[in-house]
Amino acid sequence: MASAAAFREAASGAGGVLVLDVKCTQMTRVLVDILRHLITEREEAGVVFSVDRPSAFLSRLLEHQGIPQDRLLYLDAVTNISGESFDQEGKLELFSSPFCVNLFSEFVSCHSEKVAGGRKGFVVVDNLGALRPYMTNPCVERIVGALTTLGGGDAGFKSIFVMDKGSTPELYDIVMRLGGREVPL
Amino acid sequence: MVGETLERVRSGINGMDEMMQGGFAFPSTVLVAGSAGTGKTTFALQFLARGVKDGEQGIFFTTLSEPTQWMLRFVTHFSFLDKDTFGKQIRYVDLGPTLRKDRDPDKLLKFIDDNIAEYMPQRIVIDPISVIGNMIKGDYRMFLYDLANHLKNWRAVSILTGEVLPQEPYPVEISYIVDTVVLLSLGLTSEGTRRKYLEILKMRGTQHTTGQHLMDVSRDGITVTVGLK
Repeated sequence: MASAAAFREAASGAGGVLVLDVKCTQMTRVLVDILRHLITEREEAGVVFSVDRPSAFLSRLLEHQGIPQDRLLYLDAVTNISGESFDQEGKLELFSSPFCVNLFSEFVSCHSEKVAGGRKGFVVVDNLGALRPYMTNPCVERIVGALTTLGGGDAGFKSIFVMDKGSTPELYDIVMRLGGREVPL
Repeated sequence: MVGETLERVRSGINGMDEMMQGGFAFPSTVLVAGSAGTGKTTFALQFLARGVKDGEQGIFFTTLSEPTQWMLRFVTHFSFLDKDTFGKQIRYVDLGPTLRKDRDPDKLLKFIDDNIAEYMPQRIVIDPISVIGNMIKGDYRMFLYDLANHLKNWRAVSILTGEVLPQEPYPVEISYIVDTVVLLSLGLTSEGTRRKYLEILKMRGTQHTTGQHLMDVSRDGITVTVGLK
């Protein structure tokens, strides 16, 4: 897909905060596309931070698309308020709800070593815009800040935000202010 | 304004987006209810065709109303349907065999989920949903709750069409679990002519136009004329 090709070129070997501006309707496809590239082509380990829907749905998508999940850690803030409960592949850590903003930052800090572990890796957020009903922009900014430091200084570590600039311009500005580099698709 | 932070997709129904802040909330579930001949299937296909124009994928699940083979034969005269999209941008999946064989709500839900996970559509249609209630064994309300929850978590706008009975204007049980209820109906004008009408009964998170509005079905599909009653 075009998004994987663009991402491959823009992010080849480079770390940092990468922003992919896509329409809300295309987020899932782009996310799967990027994970396919990172996991199957680059064999990287990473974290998926689910704040929009239970991570089991993304897990099931990856399973159907033939993308291995043994190097993925899911941080899931939604399952406990979703009315859903099912098994999924990949390691899973559940938050009680998306309202636990302080826990987010602390948890992300605690997992910095565990996730990055001295090797290249990534964290991808599914999907930042979904935090708007739960918290104010300064709270989101703290979370984004914590996520961007998750690599613990590893130059190859990538913090990836797939977002719709048109519908969440204020969040887009926050990520760009915190060092975001837009990957043109 | 209510719902100003919700992302939206265009309905594809001429004149309808102006009634609901620009389109259906993304993701969301929509019940399109009406008696025979009111335009439910046309509505659903027009919605999927709009998605193709916007670069999206669609799945049309048929249940036990009309086999895909015959449905497609009848609808291909519509100008909004591009036959080149059949089986590509719009995939047709028959739920009939699964319904007939197992009548198990969990197996049916898994079959639906598996197709969605494989194809990753942004627009989904189940036509008609109301038949399933008569077919499956087990708790229908629980099935509807899980179905609606799953459909939204797959990140899609889903249209569920519902057949209505003479004693109820729309399928009540389904109306509680969806985000939007659109009612298509037939009525007599003051001149005594039978016409079709569209009414938005419910739309979570959206300021929408109320009341019945005149609806025409032509080769170009459904057109709603807001204000004409």
